[in-house]
Amino acid sequence: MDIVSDSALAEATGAATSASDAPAGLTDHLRTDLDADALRRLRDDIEKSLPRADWTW
Amino acid sequence: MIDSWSSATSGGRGPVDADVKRLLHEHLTGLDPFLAEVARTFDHLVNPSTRHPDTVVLRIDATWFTELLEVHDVAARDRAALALAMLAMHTQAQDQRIDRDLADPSLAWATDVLSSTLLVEAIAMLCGIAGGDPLFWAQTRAAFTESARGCLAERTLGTGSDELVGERLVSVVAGRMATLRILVTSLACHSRRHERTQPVQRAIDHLLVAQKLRDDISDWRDDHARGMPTVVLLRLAQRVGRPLHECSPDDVADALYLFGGLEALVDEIDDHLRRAAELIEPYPHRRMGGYVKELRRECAALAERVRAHKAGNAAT
Repeated sequence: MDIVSDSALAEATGAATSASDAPAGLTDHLRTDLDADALRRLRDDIEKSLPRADWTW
Repeated sequence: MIDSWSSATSGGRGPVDADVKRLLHEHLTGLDPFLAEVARTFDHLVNPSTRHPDTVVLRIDATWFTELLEVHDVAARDRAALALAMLAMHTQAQDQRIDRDLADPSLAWATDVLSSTLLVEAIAMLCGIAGGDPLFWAQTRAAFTESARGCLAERTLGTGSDELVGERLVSVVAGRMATLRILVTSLACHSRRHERTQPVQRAIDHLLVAQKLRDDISDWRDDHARGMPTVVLLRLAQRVGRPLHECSPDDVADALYLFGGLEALVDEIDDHLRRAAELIEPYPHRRMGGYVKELRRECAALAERVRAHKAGNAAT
């Protein structure tokens, strides 16, 4: 699956350093270029696969 | 005697938890049997519901400090573990009351009284371990001031223009839990290793930041739903390119899992863990060093799992 790399993302965002100077709609823009369903499935798979962390004492 | 804890990532609870609970019960019963009964109703604070076996357990362990500060007196070590348990229970009770997370709101008053009692008892115990060293009270006062400053700063996260990085991040996140420094001070006074107080406290600060970030990664959906501007959510909003309150859960999830947010956070966590390891390196550090190493390994595995998924060859 063709996933946008971190460097490409940084370029797309103009290496934004704060919310105020970053372009709006970043995620929506990327979604139009990629297969939204496949991306969502991948995202959900990743989330489900990660172990949770919990504090104890 | 309290000697060892379960490993950091075992997911289970070690035998020592039971020892600390027994000591806590004995201590409170000695003060007033009624207090011990009240404490029993708050068991869930120190004994949360069963975890999934894969859960990464984040902890602070009194035996790290007794080793780092070379406290050999068994009674002092046990009292330190008990004081830490009471400080932790105090903090958790306060957090639940402040966040209005109590199962029964009518418990708020009882929670307040119990948590205050636990705090007083913990400080009295730590003062005894310090053996009347005047530094103890000076640093205890400083720790409370720092804690108040951290709590206030935490409540205004994301509203200021300051970037929450480097020392400012450490001062807000670790400052919030600065009462832990009292334990370090007390043990350093006991073993007369005052010169180790600051490096050990700094190491704990970095560990606390690392653990907070790791915990916030797991809890981001709940925090987002509650409108809680955690450091992790603020970092991800920055990656999305919109203020946090304009980010949907999908935006945050994309930034975290698809567009490098998690990998960047793992790098940040690892940087704090590395600094903690460096700070304790000159002292006996087998226990805390082993825990930090285990946590670094877990975080690296987390990032690797995401990369493997993205490469399309994740292990099922």
